[in-house]
Amino acid sequence: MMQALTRGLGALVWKDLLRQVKDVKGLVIFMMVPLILTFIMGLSFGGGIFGKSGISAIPLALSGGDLDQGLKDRLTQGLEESDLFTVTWTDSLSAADMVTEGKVRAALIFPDRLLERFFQGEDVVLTLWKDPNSQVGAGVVESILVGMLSQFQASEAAYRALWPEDDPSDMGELEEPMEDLLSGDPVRMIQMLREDDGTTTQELLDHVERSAVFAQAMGEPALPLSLHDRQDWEAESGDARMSQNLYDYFLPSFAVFFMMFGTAAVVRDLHRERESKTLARLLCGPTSVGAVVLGKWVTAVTMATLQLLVLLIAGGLLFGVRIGHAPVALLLVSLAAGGAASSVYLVLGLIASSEKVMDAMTTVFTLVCGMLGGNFFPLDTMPPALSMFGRGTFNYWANKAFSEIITHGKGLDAVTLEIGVLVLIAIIGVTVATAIFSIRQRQGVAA
Amino acid sequence: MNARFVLALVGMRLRRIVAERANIIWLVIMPLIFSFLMGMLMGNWSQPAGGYRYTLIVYGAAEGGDTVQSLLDPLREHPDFDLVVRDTVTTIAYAQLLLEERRVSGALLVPTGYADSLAAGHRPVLDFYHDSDRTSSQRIRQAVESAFAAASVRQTALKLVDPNTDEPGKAASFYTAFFDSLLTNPRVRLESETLGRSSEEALLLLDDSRQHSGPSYTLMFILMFLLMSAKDLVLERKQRTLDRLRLAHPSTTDLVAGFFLAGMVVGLAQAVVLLLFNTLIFGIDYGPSPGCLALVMVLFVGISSAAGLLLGTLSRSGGQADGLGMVFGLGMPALGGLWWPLEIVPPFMQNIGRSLPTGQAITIFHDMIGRGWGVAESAPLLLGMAIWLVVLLSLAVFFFRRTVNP
Repeated sequence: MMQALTRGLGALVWKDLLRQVKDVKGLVIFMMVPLILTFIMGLSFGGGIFGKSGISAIPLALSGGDLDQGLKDRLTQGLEESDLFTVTWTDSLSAADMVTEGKVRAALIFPDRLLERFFQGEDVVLTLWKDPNSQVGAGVVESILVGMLSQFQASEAAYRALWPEDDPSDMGELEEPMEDLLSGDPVRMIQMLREDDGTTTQELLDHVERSAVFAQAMGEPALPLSLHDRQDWEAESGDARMSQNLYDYFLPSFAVFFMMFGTAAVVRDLHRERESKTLARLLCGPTSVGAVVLGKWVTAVTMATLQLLVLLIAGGLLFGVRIGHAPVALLLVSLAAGGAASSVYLVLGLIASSEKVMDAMTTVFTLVCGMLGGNFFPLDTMPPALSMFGRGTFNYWANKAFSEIITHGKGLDAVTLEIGVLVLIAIIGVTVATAIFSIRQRQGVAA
Repeated sequence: MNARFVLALVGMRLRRIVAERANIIWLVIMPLIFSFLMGMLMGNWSQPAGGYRYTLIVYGAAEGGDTVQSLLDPLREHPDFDLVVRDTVTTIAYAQLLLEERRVSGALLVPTGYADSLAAGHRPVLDFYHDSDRTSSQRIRQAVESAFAAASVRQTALKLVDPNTDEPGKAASFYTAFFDSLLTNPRVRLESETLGRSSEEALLLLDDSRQHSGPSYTLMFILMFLLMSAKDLVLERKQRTLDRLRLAHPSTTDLVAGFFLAGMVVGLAQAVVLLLFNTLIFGIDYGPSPGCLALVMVLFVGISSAAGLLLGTLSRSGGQADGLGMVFGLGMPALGGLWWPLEIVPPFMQNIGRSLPTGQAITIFHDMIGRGWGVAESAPLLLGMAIWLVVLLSLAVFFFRRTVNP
């Protein structure tokens, strides 16, 4: 039976491969598009040969009312040294215009008499105006400010809960000298302390001591929280990810996506053979139905595997995608992915009544599977319901395997499950395709 | 210009497109599926995707006593995630496994004897496990750190309480209610406001990613369809059907106008259907200026039609037209910010993006939706698109005259 199945298989595969290789333009397109898109990704998100990754400095407007120039300069320096912001000082009206026109992502407006208000215990309301078209940049600004303020708010609440008598809004006779001091004139404060009978000075000293003790205590928090990031523990266990760059994810995922289109194009040849009646001629000979199906499948697997390998090698050479550490794993995953894809598209090809129907059906199938299987977005970002559907697609397992090898720097042992699933899909697919073709042959409608 | 000939050519091309039932997939079905799935995947840009709630798990809660309970209180009703509390302790390896298998987005481990150790004056450590590569995990980390800041500061402050001493550095007591009240209504606070259109003015604001994905995939599929239609012109040349058209002695202008206007009609019909469906199905709002919306769509469809015509004129084979159509049909949307917002790419890529018609069109959409802008405010970008249209159409006419209809 095996002999009958494989009779003429080599010749069939050779014939089909020759037909495919002749379509050089088609091959080049399926190779070039993922490389071009990965190049755009690299330019957009950086990393590797494209330099530092991460978002660029966020343009931020600050409106300081009557803040001292020295303080403004220090604040600007501090913000710009973080590499997160580029700062422009302006008045609040211009700041609103800049945000409205999209010239800055956000504007932070300090109230008038900021320092006086702050030290005299008055309410201090900082206003943040966000650009409606900047969900990312303005969100980062807000998130940083909220984080900084929550620590301060908790500390101030704790201090006041310990010493409610230290009400900064009730400074009594210190109020006016303090105002002068904050505006840069210490004379009245010195004069008052010299003339004081000791009470105010003592209160001031007590306050200073309490503040110092409180600051010291806060430097050593009673509830330490230790943060453990997955990257760190994977690094400690020798399982460090080799790259954090997005294009290390996108090259393999685009390669798989265009391999799906390429495989559909190879399988479509079945319909062309049917229309040109060469399939009918083929079935008149001693070749079995199984051999024809297997021949188409082997051709599709060969082309798909080659496409994946060429793309990954090109990605390695052009973009520095790390593929060299586990060549056997890459080869096996490419083969298994090609095998699964070929089986699935072969079944679709046999179900479709014509090349046009198959074209439409496989296009929708590829795009939907591409989205659900994680070719456009990492599955983690999907809602679990969609993510569950994603696991039902073969490209999910191919993407996961490539991600383990390329992004996580793992080897063959880490992708055995994925390879197993892909091989299983391939076997089921070829069996179903052979069954469909055999039934059609018996019905006399195979060719 | 021979208007009858042009109209006949437009009609003929439209009949061909309508006769091919598979075209409905590219014209309507795929853009809607993309808009829906991509919108769902990206979700609300300030909330988790698809409205799904992630999980923060706490192990060893029974060991944590009141301190850990007070830490968890603000996390119980969090809008983004569910808090799952287990009284039993677990191992570090299991917590890491939960993260690695993505069953949770954060795990807080309370060690055995935590409350006792705290009462004895020690500083026992709580361990929080997260995955910085996952946005859900980052959100949970932010929330935990914020809640922890308050709990930790409070616990630290309690160490300064000593009712039996008059030392200025010690307090007689800690006024918990006052602490809570100051924490709820802080003196120094931030008030955030998003400028532009208010939520009362719009059905949906730009913080919902469907407002980006709806127009984006409408633009992308219009461009793709018209670029991929370039193959039809190549086939007309190859199959000599273009020669038959020449029997009516049309001028180059007549032929170009016929092919260009046919693309315009198809593109505009596609735009109307998609924009309408996006509004009816997803509730997408295009801003207060229908004039600006119409103008940007007419210009974009014109650019796409002219680009398809140019491609069909320059391509020597159907395969070449197909391939180049796919390269430009995917490359231009990626560069122009239809796949991701331009603000997250480096400034030089933003400049490239905004100089392309895809980037100009989506920026106009964003400005209409977010800022409520109209024709006057978007004039520079509309002018940029008009220049693209004139350049592409001129090139198409030039090459058509030279290569197709010499």
